[in-house]
Amino acid sequence: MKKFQSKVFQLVFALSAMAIASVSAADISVIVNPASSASSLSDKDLKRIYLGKAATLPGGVSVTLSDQKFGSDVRGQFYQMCCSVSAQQARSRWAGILFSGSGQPPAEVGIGKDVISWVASNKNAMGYVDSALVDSTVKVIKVLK
Amino acid sequence: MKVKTNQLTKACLLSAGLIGGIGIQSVSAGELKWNGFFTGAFSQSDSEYAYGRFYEISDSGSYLTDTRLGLQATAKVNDKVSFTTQLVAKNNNENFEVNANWLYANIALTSDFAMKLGRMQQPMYLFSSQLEAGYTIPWVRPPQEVYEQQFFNDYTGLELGFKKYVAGHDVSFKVLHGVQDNEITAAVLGKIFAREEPLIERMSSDDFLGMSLQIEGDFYRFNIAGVKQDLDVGIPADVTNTFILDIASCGTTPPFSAKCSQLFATAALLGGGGNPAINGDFWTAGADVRLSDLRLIAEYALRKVGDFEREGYYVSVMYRADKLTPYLTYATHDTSGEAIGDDDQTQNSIALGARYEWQPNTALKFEILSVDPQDDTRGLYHVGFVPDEMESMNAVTLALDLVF
Repeated sequence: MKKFQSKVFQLVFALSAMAIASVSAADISVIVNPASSASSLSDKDLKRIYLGKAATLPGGVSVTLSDQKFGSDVRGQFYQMCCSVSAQQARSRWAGILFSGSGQPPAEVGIGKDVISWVASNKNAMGYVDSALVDSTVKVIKVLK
Repeated sequence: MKVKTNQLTKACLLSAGLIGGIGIQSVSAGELKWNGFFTGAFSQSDSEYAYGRFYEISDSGSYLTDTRLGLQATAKVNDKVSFTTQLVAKNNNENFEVNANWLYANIALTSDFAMKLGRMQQPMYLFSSQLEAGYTIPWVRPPQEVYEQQFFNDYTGLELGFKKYVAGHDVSFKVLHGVQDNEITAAVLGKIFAREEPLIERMSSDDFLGMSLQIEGDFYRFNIAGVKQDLDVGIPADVTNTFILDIASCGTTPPFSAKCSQLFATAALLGGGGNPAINGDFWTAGADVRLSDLRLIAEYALRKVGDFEREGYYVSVMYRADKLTPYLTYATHDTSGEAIGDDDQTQNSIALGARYEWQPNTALKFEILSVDPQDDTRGLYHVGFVPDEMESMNAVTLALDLVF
């Protein structure tokens, strides 16, 4: 019986570890409002936009950025994947941009579905979400794996 | 530009009404967005004499030295035009004054060209644009050997900016033109005019022309800037009247006393007038390099005022270890030539400090600063009545920086 319990414990532990790994490695989709003329975005352009170096999408398309709530896993993963910086480093950089009068940081609009709702209801909006949450109200222009 | 209040509390109340919560999220009213920053600090040195033109650090200790509050509002007028203002309350002779450092319209002419019109920051240094927001700079305060050389942080006029992404680099070029006006504590003038206290004078420039070039890559940023300006030093009439009377009392027959000799020398430098106009050049260069968690920052500044030159540079190295970023900075400053009563100011300094990301948008900072005046000069000690030759000084500062 003890041997069986041990096997079950090991199986549960292994499944849990896989589940955690799959969550932490989830794909992140970069989304825009369906009305946006943008259909794709290069790694370089995404990095420049989310580090405040570019204020528009390629072709001069206006964009209003959003962030997920500070401290959320998705936000941390997004900045690591897109820009090779931590969420804290990105935040410090945006503070410098803001208080040098050079731009406004992304609007913090919540987490998950909050971001989708916000992007869907704002013409120039852009954001990022866990790919599993994407629906037809927004347009995906890039997937970070 | 002073606002009609000098009460920090008013600014605090204003901010309290505007801030909905912590987090660098703008408080919006339509297209109007408000943000702010605050620094609270305590500094104390082992010298009875105040150190620094902008930072009066002495052995009496002070909470006033670096403490300040800023509020910034940005209004989007339309897709092409926005308006920004920044109000900063900070210590001025133990009285907090609120000044509108910025009041400008930002006009996007094309996707590459933009124009600013109004009162704005003079982008001379790597960190000059965000200097008041302590949270956005790595140190407690920037090295004075370089950052003290700027007479004017702001100017009123025009900035034409060009920005382009070229071969993997963000290139930004700005041309600046306008007028400048600032209060300065002219202790040297107080000394030569035989006053017992430093004089508060107005220094202005009505013909300010400058440029700034910045190149930014993935892990580095370079900045070069320069200005040419005709500086006018405004000396109060009662001071010049006393000066004229003192000169008259010296007579015309030698030998003259030491004081009379100094008065004659001053009169010669002033060109016979009470309000001297001097040509000024100011040049800076800087580099900010990040190699993973290691960061290296260096800046150089050269100011020429008439025949007088001030030269300074610093090198700062820091290493980010999660939330803690310790830093070490070496800086030096030297002068040469002759100007109106200006003393030689030669010094080296070493700053050892650390920044700790305590909470989101909140950083704690600690710094030990050791200043060593050289060549029998007073270094960059506060331009009050300090001895001509100063000893070394050590200062400690604790600071809390936040943005909202």
